[in-house]
Amino acid sequence: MSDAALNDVLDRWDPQPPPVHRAGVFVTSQAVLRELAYVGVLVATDAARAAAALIVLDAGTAPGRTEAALAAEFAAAGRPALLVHDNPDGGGSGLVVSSRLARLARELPDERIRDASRIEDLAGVVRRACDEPSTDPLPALLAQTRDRITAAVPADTDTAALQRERARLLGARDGGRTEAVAALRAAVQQARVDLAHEVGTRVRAVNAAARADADGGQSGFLDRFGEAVHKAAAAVDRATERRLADLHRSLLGTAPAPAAPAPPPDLGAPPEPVRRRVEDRMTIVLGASAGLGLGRFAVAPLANLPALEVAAMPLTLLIGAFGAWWLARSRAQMADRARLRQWASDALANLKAQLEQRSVGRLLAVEADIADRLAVRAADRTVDIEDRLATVDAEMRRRTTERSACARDLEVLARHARELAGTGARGAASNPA
Amino acid sequence: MGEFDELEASVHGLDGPVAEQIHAALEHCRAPIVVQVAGRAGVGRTSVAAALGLAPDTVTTPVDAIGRPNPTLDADVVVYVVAGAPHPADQPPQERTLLVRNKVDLSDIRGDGLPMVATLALTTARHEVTSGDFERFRALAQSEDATLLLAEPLFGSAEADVKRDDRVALLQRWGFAGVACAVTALRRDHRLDTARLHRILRSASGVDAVAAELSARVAAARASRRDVLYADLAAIVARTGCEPVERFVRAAAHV
Repeated sequence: MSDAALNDVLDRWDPQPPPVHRAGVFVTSQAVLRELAYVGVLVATDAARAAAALIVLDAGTAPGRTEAALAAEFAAAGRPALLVHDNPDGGGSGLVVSSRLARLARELPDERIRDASRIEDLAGVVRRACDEPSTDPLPALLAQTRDRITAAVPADTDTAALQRERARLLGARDGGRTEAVAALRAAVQQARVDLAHEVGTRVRAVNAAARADADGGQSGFLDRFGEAVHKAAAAVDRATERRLADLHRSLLGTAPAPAAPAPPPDLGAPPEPVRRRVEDRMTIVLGASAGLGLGRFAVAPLANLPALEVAAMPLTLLIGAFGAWWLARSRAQMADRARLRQWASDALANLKAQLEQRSVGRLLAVEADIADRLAVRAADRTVDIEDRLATVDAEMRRRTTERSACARDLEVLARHARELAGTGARGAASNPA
Repeated sequence: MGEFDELEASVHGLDGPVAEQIHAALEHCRAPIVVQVAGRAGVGRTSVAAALGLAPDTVTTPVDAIGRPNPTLDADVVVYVVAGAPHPADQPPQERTLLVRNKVDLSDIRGDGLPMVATLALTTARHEVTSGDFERFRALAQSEDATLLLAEPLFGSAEADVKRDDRVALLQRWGFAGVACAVTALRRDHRLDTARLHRILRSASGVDAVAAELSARVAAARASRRDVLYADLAAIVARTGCEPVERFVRAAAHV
């Protein structure tokens, strides 16, 4: 067994090691202290450095808490504490002295007074108490140090709380990035579906209006169609911005940067002007022949009237010409409407594609923006969490180190306590202090 | 005490909060003045209380007693008894305290407080100086031995023309303080008679000075109660303008 290890432990845990040398008696009464000093007793003014205590009860008073505390302090360190009655009324029991008579004996040197003061008797008792080898303080010191260490060992409950905190921090280590990205993705998908639906609705409405309008003929149709398309595009843009603002707010709590005004949608080239094609010419021929046939049929009754026979031929021609004109015109009108409808539906298909592209493009831009910001936020949070994690880890490491250091010290103390119990009382020479 | 009967009669018809307040103020003023006798164990609290004619229940539990909290010193007058050397546990309240230094015959320490030897005071209250005692005191006064009156342990062995048994009897009755006082008085003036010697012994016990101071303190506490009563009544008048109370307060101010 190495006393050096024990001394290290004791030094580490005892901020105020017991004094190396204790001497003299600590006396609670100035009068008794003075008289003892006159008869050559070594007195100590500091209780901590005194070898013994003399607790004086003056004028027949009884010991109180003050006296008990001092006695306990000396007893704890294995030092003797004596109780003496000074100037008692009546006989007084136990150790008795009269500081008053002792003082008188110095002034009137008289053996009787000196004897009656019993100061010499007290001095003898006190000297013996001071010289008495004090009981080995080591067991008390070991117990005291063990209590100190036990009180200082970090409690397990604290450690459990630290571990829970650490697990929580580890779970949140990416700064909430995964959750945020998932939420963003879901919200963007939903927005995309909503916006596609919005575009479809608007375009279908324009289409229905345009169809009805096209039946009315070409005059002013293009202007009205263009206006309807612009309105639809503006409505889609508004809906898109509203949706994006919602998205921004729900994920970041801020409003998005306003979008640059979108260019009006491109409707493509206006429908080409009517050109006479071979069908038209055929229609004219067919119309003329059908008209002529019809004319002949119509003027047939006139043949019975010789007076009108002359008029029959021109009339037939006239009806034929009219039939040709009417058929050609109707055919042209039908072709026109079909052409307009065709053009309008092509234009709307184009428009739908454009609007969809526009809203999705905007959506993607905002998504990228939000994702960037979320990433920055998450990164900030991650830095915080890493810091805290480092703090918690350091604290846990510190506690582990402390605990094992305490365990080592306790082991040293326990070993010495065992040896002490085995060998019986130790000599004062091995007092580590 | 009847000095407030008139007031009480005049507010007899009243009731409600004003009457209650007046009665409460009167109750407070009429409540007995409480005296406590306090100190550490062994300083002679019981003897001091008995010598002052105070009831035994005025004696508090000891100050600084082991395993017991200090008594609450909240009486109107606290007679705080100390003995011997100053002790760190003696912390009498600053106000309301009459400090008594008991057993002054035992030590040479002089400090604050009125000196007293409570046991001698009790003895003089219970016994007269008999002619036998007087003769023995006289015989002791003849002694030339300087150690005779120094301390009790020396008294028995000092050279004097009184038998040891008689000395013990004197000590038992008068205590060392009484014997020393009587012998000293007779040495100074041998023409004293028993009655004057008795008065001297009582005076030496210091009880009269303490009793006078105590009754002055009690009277002061009573007067301060009365001041409080008049202040309370004045406040009631100011608040309510109660006619009979106002007359009473004005009459008191004239007195």
